[in-house]
Amino acid sequence: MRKLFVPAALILAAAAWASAIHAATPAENPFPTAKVTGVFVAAQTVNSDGVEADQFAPGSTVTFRAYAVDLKTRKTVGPGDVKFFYVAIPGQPNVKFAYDPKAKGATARLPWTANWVIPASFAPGVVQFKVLVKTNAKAQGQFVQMPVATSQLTVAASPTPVYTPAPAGVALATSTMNVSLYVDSVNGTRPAGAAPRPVGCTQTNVYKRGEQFVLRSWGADLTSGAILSADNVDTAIATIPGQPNLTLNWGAHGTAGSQVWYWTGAWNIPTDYPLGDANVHVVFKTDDGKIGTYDYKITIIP
Amino acid sequence: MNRSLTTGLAGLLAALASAAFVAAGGAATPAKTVAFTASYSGTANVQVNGDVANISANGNGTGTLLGSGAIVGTGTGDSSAQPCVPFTGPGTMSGTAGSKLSFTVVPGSQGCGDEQGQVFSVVGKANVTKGTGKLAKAHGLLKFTGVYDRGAGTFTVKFKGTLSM
Repeated sequence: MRKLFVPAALILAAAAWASAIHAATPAENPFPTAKVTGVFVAAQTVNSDGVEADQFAPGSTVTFRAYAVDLKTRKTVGPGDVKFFYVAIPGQPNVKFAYDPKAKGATARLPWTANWVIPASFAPGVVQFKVLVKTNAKAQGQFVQMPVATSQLTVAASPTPVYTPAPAGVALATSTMNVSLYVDSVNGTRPAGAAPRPVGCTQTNVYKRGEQFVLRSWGADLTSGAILSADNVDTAIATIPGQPNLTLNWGAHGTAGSQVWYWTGAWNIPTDYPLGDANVHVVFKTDDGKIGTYDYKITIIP
Repeated sequence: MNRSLTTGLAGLLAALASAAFVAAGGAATPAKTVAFTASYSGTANVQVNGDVANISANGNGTGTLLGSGAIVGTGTGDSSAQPCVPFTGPGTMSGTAGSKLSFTVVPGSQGCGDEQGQVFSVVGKANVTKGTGKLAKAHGLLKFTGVYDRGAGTFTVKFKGTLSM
């Protein structure tokens, strides 16, 4: 009996030790999920100037712009493809998307837009919107915001101002995709050559010279639906005119305990960088050779 | 006589051809490649001295060809690089069957910290330089990914790739 008890106790102790180790090391939590099914959806919010922004005053208009890719066909979802495509905002009527690459706030890459006028009485705070789409072929997808509070859509009486003008949009190759990407950017909290903004990590695509540009990205392998992670990506870089390649790194972000994992790269904009639009060309190459690209334009101002 | 000579020459040529074939076959035998995956978790200690991070790690887990076993590694990193700390160093993976793989983490490998500098995404490549037991001739480049929790002093890591045997 005693002989049996001792090994059993040892096994239990070993199992407890092993499980303690596993419990102590946070597991990777890919954003928005480990695997995309149905439809890949990416969306941004822009202001009336067409500048990416996430803080808005009551009474102002938020323009949501989006694109979607059907995983089955690996083609972008067009106007004749959807049963519904809308923004769901807590306590508000659904805001339907319309397809028009030339609409205000739209780009060729993000041709679907939906405008929401924030009611004057809308309570200040983060707005946890969702973008929902269903195709005629009954494939569904949704978009949610990265859970980093300062980069999420927020209604505030005195929103943090963003700069202008908005960069011009860029074209989207409409051929079949192997990899689909979401890309945005936020102002970094540690600019090397300019004063920090009042609130760090807010979304924008207009930067002053000397500020810190932080590119954020996530994506999916459209063949398997797997989220792009260090497990399946060989290289992830962004090329910026006149600059060394910016390596995008896979890592944890957000508040401890509720972190999510996605790709980021920080670039300290030189104080003499040419003014005007700059195209940030994002390229992911997977371990099995698939390529995903995204041209993300920013404007550099004095 | 002529016939005998012809036969003899033919036999000699056949023997030479056979020998050449065997030699060529022996020299050209392609190395066998096998898919390899392994997964370990354990504890890691990182001591920062100036800009140098001294790393030591020990863990347990399992790997194909190795079975259940342990991983041990040491290394150094450049802690002045933020948010990603490049690191290199040697290590071993060993299994219950007595086999062992020795590897070196190659330049380009790094650990990227979160905003708090607590949770690191670890990504890189390990060059398997030698083995023991049934893996004596194993070599190849493996990709590894993992997580290092600085506060808890723990890590998880996965290896994948192919080994030539």
